[in-house]
Amino acid sequence: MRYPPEHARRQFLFHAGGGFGGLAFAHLLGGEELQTERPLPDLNGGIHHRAKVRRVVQLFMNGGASQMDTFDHKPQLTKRHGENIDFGIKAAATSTPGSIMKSPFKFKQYGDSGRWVSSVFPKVAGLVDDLAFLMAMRSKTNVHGPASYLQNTGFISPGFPCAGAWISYGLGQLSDDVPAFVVLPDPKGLPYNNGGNFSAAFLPAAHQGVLIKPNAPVPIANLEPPEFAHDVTKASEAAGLELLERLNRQHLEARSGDSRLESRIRSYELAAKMQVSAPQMLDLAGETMATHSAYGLDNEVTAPFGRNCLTARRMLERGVRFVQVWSGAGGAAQNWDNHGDIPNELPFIAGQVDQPIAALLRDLKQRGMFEDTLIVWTTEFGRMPFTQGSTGRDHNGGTFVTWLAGAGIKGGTSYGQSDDFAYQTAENTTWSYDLHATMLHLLGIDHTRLTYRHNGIDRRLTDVHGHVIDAVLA
Amino acid sequence: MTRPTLRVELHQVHGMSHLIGCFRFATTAVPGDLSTEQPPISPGLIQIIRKPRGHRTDAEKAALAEAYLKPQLQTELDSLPPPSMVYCGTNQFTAIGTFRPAEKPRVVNVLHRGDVQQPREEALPGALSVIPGLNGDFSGASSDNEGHRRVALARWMTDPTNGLTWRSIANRLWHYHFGRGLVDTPNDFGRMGSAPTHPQLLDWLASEMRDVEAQGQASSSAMKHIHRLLVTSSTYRQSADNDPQAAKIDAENRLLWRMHRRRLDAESIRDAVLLISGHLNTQMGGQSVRQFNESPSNHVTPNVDYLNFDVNAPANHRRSVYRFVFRTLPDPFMDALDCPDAAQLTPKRNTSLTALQALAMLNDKLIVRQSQWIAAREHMRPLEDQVKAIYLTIFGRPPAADETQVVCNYVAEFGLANACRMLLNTNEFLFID
Repeated sequence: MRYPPEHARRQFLFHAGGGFGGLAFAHLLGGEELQTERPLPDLNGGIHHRAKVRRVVQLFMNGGASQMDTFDHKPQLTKRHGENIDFGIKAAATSTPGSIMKSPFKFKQYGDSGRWVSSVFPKVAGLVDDLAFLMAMRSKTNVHGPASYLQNTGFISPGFPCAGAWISYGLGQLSDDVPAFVVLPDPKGLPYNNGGNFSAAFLPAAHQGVLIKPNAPVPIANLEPPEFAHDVTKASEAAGLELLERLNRQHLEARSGDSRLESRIRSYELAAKMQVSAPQMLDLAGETMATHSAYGLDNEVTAPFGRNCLTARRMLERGVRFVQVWSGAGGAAQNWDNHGDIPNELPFIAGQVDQPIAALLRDLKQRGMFEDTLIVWTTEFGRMPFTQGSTGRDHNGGTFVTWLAGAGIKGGTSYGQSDDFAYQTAENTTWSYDLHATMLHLLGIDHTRLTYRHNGIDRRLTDVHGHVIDAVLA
Repeated sequence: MTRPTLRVELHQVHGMSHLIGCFRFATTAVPGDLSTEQPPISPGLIQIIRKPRGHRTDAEKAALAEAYLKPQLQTELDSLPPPSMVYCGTNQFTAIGTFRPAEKPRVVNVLHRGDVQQPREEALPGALSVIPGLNGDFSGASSDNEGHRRVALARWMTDPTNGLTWRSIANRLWHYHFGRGLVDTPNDFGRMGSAPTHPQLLDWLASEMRDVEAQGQASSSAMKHIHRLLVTSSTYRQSADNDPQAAKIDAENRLLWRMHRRRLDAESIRDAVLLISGHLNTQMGGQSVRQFNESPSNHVTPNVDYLNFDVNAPANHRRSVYRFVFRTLPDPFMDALDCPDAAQLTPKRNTSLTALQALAMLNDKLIVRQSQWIAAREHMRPLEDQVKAIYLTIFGRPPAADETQVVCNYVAEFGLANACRMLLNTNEFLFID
């Protein structure tokens, strides 16, 4: 690929600003690593073709949500419950395979689409006609760390940019006041891989996920001075920023031809804006009582995830392009990694998210945001058809479920099928590559053309793979 | 020449009734103190000494040499600094648990399309075969001994005819001094890398480096030689000023008509701030320091808390190269300043300029605390002198009259610490011209 000279690219970005705010974008990137393409208004903000989606919220169930206990109904498991079936493996990820275990939960068909959903998701079940299910997603690995990397970055090893970072890199910000890519972790802690799941890796740092903890005493790092900064006041900051700009401008006068100096001056204006807008974004006091209770904020079980979901909606409204909401911290308990006791552990964690997710979907629809927002529910892998211990299930990269909803998605559909035991994918297997290709496609990006040269390779979110899953597109 | 007179007085203080017998006296011109106690010579050794030179057996000679050399060598050994730890790859060690080190290097196969399930032909040890006169085929190296393969690779890399090694080192040195290498892809001199902008210059530097080393000098002297050549060059000493005429022809400054203006990298910013505040610990070497609180979590990975780490902890004052870098849980301050995650090789730093970076420079507790310390050092002086002092320490120059004026006004109202913090946030501080 040939790049136009740096200077020309900069000039182009500065003068071609348009409605999108390319100027601010160029400033934020700082000039060194500007990409050649930019969102075009006549492509609805896409860069390669017309975008159907402007923003994304991804709900990530950390630990490996059990497919056959949630959305992948398998009568064979009930029929052959207790039998020992040889799947040709001596060991699962952490245990010896036990006997076949039926799902302990009742399945029912919902909606016009007749989608089967278990009793752990009673509220999401009511919305199945809005959802498109990928019933045969597959992972290369049965191990949390690599599998989470794969599902987030398209690689099983650390050091690659995640989907949110790629999208930020490709499309930039929708608004000056807020970051493009925000991560809302489970209040109990970060997922497996910690920040590695939302890293910009070799992309410029501007694209990394900004960690915001709506449930913590300090939700955003460095937004405010530390407690011991007694002499820092609103007045000192206002006058200080003025002084800083004056000194920087004076410095700039003698140094023409370097847009980075100007960009840095501008970054302080944006920082000041963010100091005002971010607390507003997190302040839920203005939301109605009805909204609070719809998201389950009045219930201590659903409140933490509900607060994150409601905050996510407020962020999307204010121009955050990609919000990733995590359920479950890394670790042995209180997540989707139900090794010990599916009948109790799964309802516990699913009960935290079911109502908030349903509320988020309804809320987005009600506000017309379904028209340009993509919602993705996913996890890093599924679980085994046989027991671990007495009633647990071990990791299974063989098949798992992801669903999509919102702009550009054909609700009430599904794609792919697992085998009779939900042990492996059987038909129309999809990978993280295909999910990512589809997400990018909806955002107006050809996943094969969104590249970044690193160590001699034009890297992609989808590595050398990926097919857009047309079957679930509207 | 006058002969010195030596006067000897003998005081008989030992015993009450014996006189000293066989009194002897000798002088020597050897300088220094000869009174140091020597260990007594054993009777056996005395016998050996008494034998005429040619009549001593080999064992006797050895015993004599040992008695003479051992204390001397021991003193010399004792005066050496303690040995530093050297790590090396080996299969000769006592393994822990059930692990058994491989006795032979394992067979490595080319994996079809990278799939571990599809091993194809065996991959043999070797290097590039493109260098004339240099054999890149190591298959002659014993396949039973991994050490032989390593040695073959080391010889190949350091062979004087292998320009690749010297070029890539010289280019890296250039890259660090100038902010951009003569080859702009320091980790990649292959087909996917960029072509050098100044190939002859690169070759000259590479051969200078190789030849200094070939003269038997240590590698560090060769490095130093190149460092000196670079930083004393007129190219390096150019200003970063813009020249619109030149910019029209070469906007990217590939031809180095000016110095690249560079933003300090994360580590340099941190160290510079500590240096200015007078708190930088310049100790070399030693264990890395954790600049975070670590506590057990419900998973193998511990909780890593940067937010509540004591900002005054001595660990915070060590140079940034000694930071313990926790992969996947990076220090948010360093992260905001483009310090890369260590999971991937990062030959070139990004230098982004983001709003979050601005917030980190304004509000990170390290910056806030160091600003307070700089201020604490200067606050006793008259206002104008305070401003002059902080300009000198932060920018290395005195303030201009109008700068003195505006900064004095700010200090009068909001204090010196706030002013220091704002100066640490300026472009002048963060960019090198």
